[in-house]
Amino acid sequence: MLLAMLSMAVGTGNIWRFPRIAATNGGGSFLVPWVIFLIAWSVPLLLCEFAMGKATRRNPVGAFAELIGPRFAWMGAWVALCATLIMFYYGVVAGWCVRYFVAAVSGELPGADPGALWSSYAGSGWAVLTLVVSLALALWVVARGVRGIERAVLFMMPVLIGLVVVLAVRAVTLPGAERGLAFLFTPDLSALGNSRIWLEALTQNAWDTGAGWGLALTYATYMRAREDTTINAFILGFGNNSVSLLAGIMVLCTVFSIRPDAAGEIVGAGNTGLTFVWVPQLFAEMPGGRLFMAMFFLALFFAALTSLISMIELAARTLIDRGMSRGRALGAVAILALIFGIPSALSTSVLDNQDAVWGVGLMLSGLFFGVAVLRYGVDRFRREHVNSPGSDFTIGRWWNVAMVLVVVEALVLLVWWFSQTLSAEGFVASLDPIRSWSLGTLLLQWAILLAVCLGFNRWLGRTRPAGDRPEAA
Amino acid sequence: MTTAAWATMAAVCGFVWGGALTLLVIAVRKEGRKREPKPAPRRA
Repeated sequence: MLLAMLSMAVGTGNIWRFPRIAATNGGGSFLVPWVIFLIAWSVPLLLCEFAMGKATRRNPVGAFAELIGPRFAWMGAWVALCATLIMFYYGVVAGWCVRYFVAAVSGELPGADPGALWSSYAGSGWAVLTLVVSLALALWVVARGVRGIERAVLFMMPVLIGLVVVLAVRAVTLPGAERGLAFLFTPDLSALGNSRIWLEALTQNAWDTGAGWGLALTYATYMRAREDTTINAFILGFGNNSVSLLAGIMVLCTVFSIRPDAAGEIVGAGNTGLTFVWVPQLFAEMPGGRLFMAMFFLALFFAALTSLISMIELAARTLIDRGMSRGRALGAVAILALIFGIPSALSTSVLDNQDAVWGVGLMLSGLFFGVAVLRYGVDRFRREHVNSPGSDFTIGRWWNVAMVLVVVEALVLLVWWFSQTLSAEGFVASLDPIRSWSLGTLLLQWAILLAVCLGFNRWLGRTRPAGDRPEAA
Repeated sequence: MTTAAWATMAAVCGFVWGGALTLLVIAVRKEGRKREPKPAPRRA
């Protein structure tokens, strides 16, 4: 169980997403709210998700309907669909790992120009091909069973964690690496008045730990009734953030060592491939670098694949619980993943847009979990479900306060960000729905998803008999 | 690196990595205790 939890601690969210989000949002200024949200957002939500999954043994839609009534099934649908919409572009990132593994094996990497492969590959037809490969592999595993991949992951994940530790140590010993550390850890307290930094910090922490995705909930539906989840929720949160921090040090120290004037280049838009561009350069500084680079991208692909499998399972499980056969559900998910994944494969701007919209959408998912628990009775939920029989540790009343805080944080942050964006950019410019990162594009896409969830609420709220639930292992 | 950067690095890394290591040690010890064979009940 512990090893499985550790395996969940690493993914592309930590290695691909964290370094670029930390770099874009001011490094040290970003880390302060990011650490706060580990305790004030991710850990309480993970405890909530595990408890909800074990208590209801249903997918997010059924879990919300059972816990607080069928009228609120739309909240669970939002959680499931938000994770599914992330899955559509996550397949593209998994495909990038395939391409970089092939490049490492064939000797294309590291090239003389760090960004040459990235420029020619990202957004091309090859990215669509690697998307198809990663999706096909993930679907094949989901359809055939996960036993084989489980064994591979149990070997590959420790390899990836070990490589990230070794690479981070090598990166900080590169000449000029202290500039990267200074960039990552120098706090600018005045930047803490910027709502966007807090929003990105919360979103990234949710991305790192998987809090609010509904994945921990789905995972918990298969757990034994007496299996402890409290310590695992903490390990998941702290373990994920540990790996993210290592990845940030690894990437930024390498960038600043090779290109001391990189600050202007990596801050702001256009840094989507930051990790993919710079990590190969770090391997070039190591003995046996090509072999380790191939192992790194293979392990990163396995990490992405396991997350992709969980997301596909979540989407398929939701359809199966609505009465669809497993084969049809997987077919529908495959077709949708391909249709909605291709635009992100062909354009990094589209991928950035989707990453922003559904990344911040995770904040609404967390808000809905918080609302559900408050409606059920936060102290009652803690006594009945969080501190269930078999728990090794008793969660105290601090969790009640933390869940109230989750709701307050999401609401305050949304209102603060809306008002600050509207006053800084102006009403018309901030509501532009075409830009990859704007209030307009977020509100428009959220409104469409909310309309779909609310439109189908009556159908979603029809719960199926308890006999259909997965049995506890 | 400025003093503020060193202090932030020590605080953030200490909290995150220190927390993760402490939790791991607690979890491993807990698992170990669960696996210890329970003493057989004495016969009267």
